[in-house]
Amino acid sequence: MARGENNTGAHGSGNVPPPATAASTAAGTAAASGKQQARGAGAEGQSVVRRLQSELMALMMGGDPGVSAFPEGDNIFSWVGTIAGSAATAYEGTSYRLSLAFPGEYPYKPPKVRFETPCFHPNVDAHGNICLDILQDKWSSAYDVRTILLSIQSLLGEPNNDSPLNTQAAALWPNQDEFRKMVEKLYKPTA
Amino acid sequence: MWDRQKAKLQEDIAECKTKITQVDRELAEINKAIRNMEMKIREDTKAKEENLALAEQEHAKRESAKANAERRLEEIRQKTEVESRCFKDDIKRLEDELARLQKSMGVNHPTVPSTHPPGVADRNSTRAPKQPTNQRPSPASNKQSQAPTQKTSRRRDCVICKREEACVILLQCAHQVLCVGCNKRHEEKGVARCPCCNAKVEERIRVFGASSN
Repeated sequence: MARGENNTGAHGSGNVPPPATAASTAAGTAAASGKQQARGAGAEGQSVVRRLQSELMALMMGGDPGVSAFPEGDNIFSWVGTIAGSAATAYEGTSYRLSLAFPGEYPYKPPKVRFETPCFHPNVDAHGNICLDILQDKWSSAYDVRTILLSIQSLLGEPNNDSPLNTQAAALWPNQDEFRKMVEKLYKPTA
Repeated sequence: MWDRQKAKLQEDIAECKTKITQVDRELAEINKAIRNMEMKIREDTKAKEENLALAEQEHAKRESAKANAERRLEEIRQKTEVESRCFKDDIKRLEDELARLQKSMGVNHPTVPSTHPPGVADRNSTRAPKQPTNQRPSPASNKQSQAPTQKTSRRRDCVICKREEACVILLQCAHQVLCVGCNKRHEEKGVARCPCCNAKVEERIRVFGASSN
């Protein structure tokens, strides 16, 4: 009994019926939500949809200031997020629109996040791609849409100038006044 | 003789002339009178027209007054109808409230002389809400809090599916953040790091609380 793995295996066989009921309930929910496009077939697809729905509910009920997100159209795997620039930063008073594309293996794989609004930032390139470690190798299954948006909002005020995607922005960062002017110059919010 | 006749004729002529002048004067006066009469007639006709206009105005005023009166009557009727409806609704509501109060008074009346059946009913009703409160703490069994959890609720949900209970401890960091199903998928996908602290996972232990099977 010292080894937990054997214990887990023994009791795992005992817990066979609950997954079956879970699968049946998942099938029911899948039938209920027929409009949504589930990429992953089987239990994984339904679990991803349910997780995204629960995240959406949490976002709508939770009151995080400055960040919001909602599925784009009927596809729950494609979201549109909004980030407001934090106070006391070069991005104060701005509002950036982002797109989030969730893979079928979410949350084991990170979503693809991109800036829709042009953003002058050392870690954002001309096409809106973001260089952020938690969206790449440092991704964790515990992250969700809320934490991703908050991390990006934090990144706006605290860039990583050691590995810039926008060398001009990285070079200009020490001069905050000039940086602010450039931000305002290149800021074109999408209506 | 002709002289006498001439004188007579001349006298006659003078008389006629004087007569003519008089008649002319009279004619002028008569003309003046005629003019005055015409003016009077005109004034009379004007006065008549004015009177007729006034009469018509008065008639129109009377008609409009009648119409206004009728409108006011209709408005008053509508108002009275609406008010009567409101009063009826109020009466119904008051009657309902009266019935409720009578029922409550009826319930209260026997309690004052302490009738047994209503007293027993009250006691049962008071007992009913206590039982759930007693039952609620029992399923919330205390578990070993070995990992910092984001939610402050007693039940820790899996960080991946956010639905099932987190009942798998990942060693060496001792984080309890995954459920059975997600742990299997986590292991199958070859993820060898803790979702919370990114530490290497060497062992996965399924734990059981008092409410687990």
